[in-house]
Amino acid sequence: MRREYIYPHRSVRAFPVSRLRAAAAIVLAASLTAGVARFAGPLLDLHHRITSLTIKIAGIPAGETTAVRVFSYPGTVPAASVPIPRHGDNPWRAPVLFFATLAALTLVHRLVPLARSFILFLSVLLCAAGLVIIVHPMFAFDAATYQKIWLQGEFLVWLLLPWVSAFLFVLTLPAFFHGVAWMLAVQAYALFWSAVRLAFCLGVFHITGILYVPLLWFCLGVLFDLVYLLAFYALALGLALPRAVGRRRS
Amino acid sequence: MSPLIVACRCILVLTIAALTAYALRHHLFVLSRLGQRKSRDMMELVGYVAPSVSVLVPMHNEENVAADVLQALVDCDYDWAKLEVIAIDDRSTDRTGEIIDEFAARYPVVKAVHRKEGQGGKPAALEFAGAQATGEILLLFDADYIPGRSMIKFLVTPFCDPEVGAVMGRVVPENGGASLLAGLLELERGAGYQIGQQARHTLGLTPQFGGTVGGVRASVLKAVGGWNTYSLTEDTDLTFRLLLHGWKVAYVNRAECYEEAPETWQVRSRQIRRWATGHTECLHDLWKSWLRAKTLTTAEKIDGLFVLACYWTAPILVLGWLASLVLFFLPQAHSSLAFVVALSFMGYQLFGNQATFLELGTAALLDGNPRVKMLPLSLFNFFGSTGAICRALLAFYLGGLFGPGNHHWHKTKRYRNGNGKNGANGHANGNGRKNGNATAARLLIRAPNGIYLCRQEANLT
Repeated sequence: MRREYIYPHRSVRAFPVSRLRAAAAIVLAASLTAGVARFAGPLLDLHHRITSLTIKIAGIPAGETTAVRVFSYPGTVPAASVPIPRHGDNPWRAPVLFFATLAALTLVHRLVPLARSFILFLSVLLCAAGLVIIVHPMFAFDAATYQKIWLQGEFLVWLLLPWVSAFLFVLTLPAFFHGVAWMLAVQAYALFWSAVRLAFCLGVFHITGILYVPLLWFCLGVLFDLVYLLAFYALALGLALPRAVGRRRS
Repeated sequence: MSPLIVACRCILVLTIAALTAYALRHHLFVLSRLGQRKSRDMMELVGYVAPSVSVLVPMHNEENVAADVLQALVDCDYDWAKLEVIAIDDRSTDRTGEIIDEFAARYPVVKAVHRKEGQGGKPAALEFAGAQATGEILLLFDADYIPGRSMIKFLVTPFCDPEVGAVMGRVVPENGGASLLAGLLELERGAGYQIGQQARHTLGLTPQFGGTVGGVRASVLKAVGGWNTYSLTEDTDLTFRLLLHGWKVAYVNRAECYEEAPETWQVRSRQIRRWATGHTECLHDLWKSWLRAKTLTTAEKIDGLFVLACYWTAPILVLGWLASLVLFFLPQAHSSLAFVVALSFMGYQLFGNQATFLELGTAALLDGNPRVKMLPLSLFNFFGSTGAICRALLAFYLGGLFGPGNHHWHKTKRYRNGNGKNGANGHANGNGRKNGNATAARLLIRAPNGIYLCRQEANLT
């Protein structure tokens, strides 16, 4: 009699990807990408509204909305205007924050061996910013420039995300419609979460100056895109396991 | 455009190209494994008679685990008339020799071999004991492994194909609950075997003989020159020499054997540094003959190079990240679309290469492993491994320039205390560790069919 699982460890023998499902995944990914491209303007506008609202709730003083040019398409989009102090405005702030952060990182480095390489990565980013401040004290990174870089990166992530999600959720999860639901949820979350993270970064810069600019961009920007994607993936798989285990018991 | 920007962009392009190639490979493996439907005509089984087998178990100061592995091996259901278990006491200074002698006195199938001096390292011990082995097939188990009852039969069966020179089984950590790292390594091992090895076997590429939970034909081993006693990864070295000589390596997913994964980062870091050094050494030694080999298909050659060069991805990745960091601080670089595209791709590729995580997740899904919820934490393992590999390769290349380099064989630390009961019903050992507290979380339970099951797996039945 044919078994669904592999003896002795009861791994599921296979979850074959049917051509229909593969075609559906491609169509879904292409449609979502096309949708993001087609409605880029309204999406970026919505992103800005969420960012501005979060900044307002946090009580950070924001000036009038400025415009930044993300790409030639969709052109200029609104951006929040948050004042970021220069190093010269308060020469003590950067050194105090730098050494305090370095001390905290060193402490974590000593206490959590598994996180040591990650802490080293953060330390390099912090030191790079420190070096820039020392070599070029008048170096400025205004909110508009930061948002431009942020939005360029995130917009490309939104365009790419459907293809990654199609593979992670639609092709590999046992239930097709669950996969589609997860895919749409990740896409929506990507926009919302990006706006909240951006607001957080601007808030931190408003208080601390430019010391944390690279650290927050590399961590809360590109790295967090991967983190939430993995979190969604882990959650989806965790919930899908009983279904797979059901097949294993058959 | 300044030369610095040009250089940084070149590094970024190299990084993206290298990592994308690996990502595509991971995707191919996942698709292959998910859709695995392999029909066989079984014609190679005609006239096949189970061969004589010598099981080699090298042990250097393994008093904590020696009894477990030997007990599991004598409990295996392979015909004793065709079986010998060669327990190798490799220059041990603890009770390992005594334990081996006890087993040899109790079971005629166990042969005790004591090696008191000579070159250190596992390959040297295997070379020494291999000369005394009489079996047609040599199977290997590290001392911390616990083979299931039918393990020897599973591993010997692929040798019915006369083209198979070596076979590899599946390694499953039994201590995934012992620490966060061990849990993450359980996921990683799952991806490596359930997806990577299986897909490479199915696609006719180059599954790797891992030096434990595997075997090799004695005659073939001799024909390809025996164990490379100077290699830190003698298993990789042997795999590639076998393939170069026209032999196939088979992978048996159901030949599941339980091991102890490193529980602390210090142990893991040392292990991965040894692998990175040995692997890269093999790359330097073999890449020319690999590319020139006439017995290999183009797909095998490409996959083989991917395997040999896999540890290079870590320094490439770090270089790409440093390049993007430099570009970040150069305002004149921000205006370029290429910069943004590069950074975005880096976001996906640099910090994790989501294809790797796809493999981890898919393997957990196939295995029904609830530890999949820890998947995002694998990023710490990823960062840690990247750092350790960079350190190892730096030492390797600088060692090559200024001296003989680092060629020490570091034994991986064991955590279990052995009593021949495979983790169950233990007593405090010399280190004061008790079964029943930390070890109880990872008890192995023996099912009625003789297969050892991890607690989590046993609960499913």
